[in-house]
Amino acid sequence: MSDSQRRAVRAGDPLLEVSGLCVDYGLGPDAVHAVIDADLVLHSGEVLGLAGESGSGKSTLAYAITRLLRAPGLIVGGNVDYHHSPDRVIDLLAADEPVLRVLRWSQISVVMQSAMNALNPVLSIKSQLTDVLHAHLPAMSKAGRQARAAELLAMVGISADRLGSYPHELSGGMRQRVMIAMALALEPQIVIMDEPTTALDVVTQREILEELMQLRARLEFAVLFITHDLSLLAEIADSIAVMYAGRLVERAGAGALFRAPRHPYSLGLLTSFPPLHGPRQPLSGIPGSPPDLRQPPPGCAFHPRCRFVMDRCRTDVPPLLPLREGRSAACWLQDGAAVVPPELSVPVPARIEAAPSPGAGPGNPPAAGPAGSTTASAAPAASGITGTARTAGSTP
Amino acid sequence: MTQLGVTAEAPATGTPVLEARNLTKHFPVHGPVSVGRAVLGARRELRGQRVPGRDRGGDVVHAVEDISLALPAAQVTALVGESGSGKSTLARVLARLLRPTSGELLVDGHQVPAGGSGRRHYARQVQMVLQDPFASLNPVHEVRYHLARPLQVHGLRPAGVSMDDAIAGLLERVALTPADQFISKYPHELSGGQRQRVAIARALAVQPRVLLADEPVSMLDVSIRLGILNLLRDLSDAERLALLYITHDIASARYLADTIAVMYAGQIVETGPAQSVTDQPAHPYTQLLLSAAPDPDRPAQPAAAGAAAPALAGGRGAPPSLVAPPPGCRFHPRCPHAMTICAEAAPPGFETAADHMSACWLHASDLSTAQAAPLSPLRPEETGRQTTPTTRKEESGA
Repeated sequence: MSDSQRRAVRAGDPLLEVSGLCVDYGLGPDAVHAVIDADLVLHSGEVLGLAGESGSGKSTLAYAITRLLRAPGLIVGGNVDYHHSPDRVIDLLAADEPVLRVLRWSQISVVMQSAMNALNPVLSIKSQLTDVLHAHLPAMSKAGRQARAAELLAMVGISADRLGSYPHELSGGMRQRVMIAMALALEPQIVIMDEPTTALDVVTQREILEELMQLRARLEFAVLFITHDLSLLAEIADSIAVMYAGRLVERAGAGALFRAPRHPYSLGLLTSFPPLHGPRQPLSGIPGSPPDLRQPPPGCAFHPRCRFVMDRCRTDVPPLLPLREGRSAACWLQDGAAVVPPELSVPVPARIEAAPSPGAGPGNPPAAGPAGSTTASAAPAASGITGTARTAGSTP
Repeated sequence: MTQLGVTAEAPATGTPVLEARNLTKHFPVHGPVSVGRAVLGARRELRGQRVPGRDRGGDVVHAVEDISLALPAAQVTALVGESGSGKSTLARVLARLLRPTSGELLVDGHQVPAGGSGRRHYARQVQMVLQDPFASLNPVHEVRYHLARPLQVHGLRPAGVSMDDAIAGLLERVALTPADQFISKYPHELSGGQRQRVAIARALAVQPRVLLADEPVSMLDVSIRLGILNLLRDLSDAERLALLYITHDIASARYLADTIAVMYAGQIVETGPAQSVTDQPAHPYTQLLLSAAPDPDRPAQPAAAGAAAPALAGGRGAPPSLVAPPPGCRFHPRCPHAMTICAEAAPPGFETAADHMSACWLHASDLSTAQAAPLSPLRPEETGRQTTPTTRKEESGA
């Protein structure tokens, strides 16, 4: 079960390709379009952040990818290709139950948001950890399963004597660690994390994220990290996709998205987090509230809240336009014809694009995703701004 | 009008609207052994006898310990801490929803009278906004009912103004306009941000002078949080509200508040001007909180370096059990700078800058060598974990 035997897709190559994925809740004219035409690529060894507010469809997208969607959720279009090995691509949407059974957990596992609800309260941690081993590795002996369960707990920093504990005997952080250990039990290629730290305190959240990043560097799995907290993604993700009202509105490398957003919604989200440094100044956030998906606004779903709104936005839905530097944004301002406001045309600082992707495993090429390819072209334009990139006033 | 009346003249500057002195709140532990004792203690308490925790015989949770806090008019005070640090308990004591074990509450420098009418007067001065606007509004009633009730209960509808006009005025104060669109809505027809605005309007209905906001934005979507925070700021400025903003998010406290008080394990460990506390944190716990907060401006790090660079400023582990808090400074088991004295005596507040207090022995100038000797880091009997101790495996590297 060593990594070298299991790893088939080279690090940095596409591992999961989602194209044109559409998910509805309900049928017919009253159906709510929860995910519309989503295109995503998760590269091997990459941390892809999926950010969006509640109701933006980010969890629905993840459940559709893993085929965990329950009625009335319905996948109505698109493709999800999983690159099991360089010469074997599995269409997850067409896969039947036995194939899914094998793939789930051993190749793609999920960490749910609420560990209290995801763990069975009447079973001990040990029986929940060994259950998955029993199901997927029937040849494993009982002693072997026990040893592996203890090893998994140790991996997430919990001593083996907690194996016999029940979920209610663990703190919230420990429960979430157990969830992570369980997701990693079969050394999957992809771990989908649905708001794994949202319910935790900020210090615990930081500890778990650090452990997670260390595990990822060691085990080299790819992560689809779903969260509403964009500021968190800046620190852990290689690339970020932002969702709004069921559509992907921007895709870019993490640093590029942070320093130089191209979609007004990304910009608004970024200015919704008060900074920890620098002078205190009034921030405006985003006016209005997220749309009701039962009655989405015509045209661009963000236009009622957008301060750069144009006539065209009210009628036409902008597609996800490819931009320079390998990124893309769904905004009519970026189609080349419109005058782009300065806030949305900040050049990408060279320092960020040139830096190797922070999460790349040892020896991997930078898994920079879509943003890393045109570093050279971005560098001259950005040379003026590197000096202004804020340095963190780290605490003493 | 009594001295508590809402129309009483504003007191001389310097007197905070609401002041808490040495507030302590202990909760009896209903363990299998101490249930009987706790019931006895609770009975005694019901009869109005003060029962200090130790005398009750059973264990107690030291939820709030000896906290003094002043809320001046037109100022925003932020109370920052992790869950379980006692910040919500403190808010409930300040709102008189809980009776403090000891300590006193002063409104405009005067003692708060006990009993029903005192309670009603107090409610007109001090109002609370709760965290979850999905739970704090009654789903079977319209917005009209929620805002009419406080006006009816306190008899506050101005003469010659219809109830609907009074309610519309309230809705306009929280920027829910046009008001007639909202007045007949049920809570489920409103978005989270709008619900929280209704909850704020309900608190404002009695024209309070103190507003206790317990995590008012943590249940809301990111993009609408700032709108609520800005509203609270404007209300504090325009109506001279003394605002207590309770949060776990130190960045939003920095944004909104004039003063920040950091709470750990039932005690306030640091207070000071907001920017001073976040830019020059003087207490190791505040430093830990700041280092754990998501910060896109932090230089790219830890994963690339593998296990080499922990971003957290020390302080691994969990908050202590509040049933048997560690002796001395309650943070010392997690503190990277712990000294011998930290395990022996609780630190008093030291002034580290203008108006900036930190309860940490590191700021004492006259410690003996023995007192300042580093505390040996591994003393498991003192770590006082909430559950049985966990051995945390050190990552051996990527």
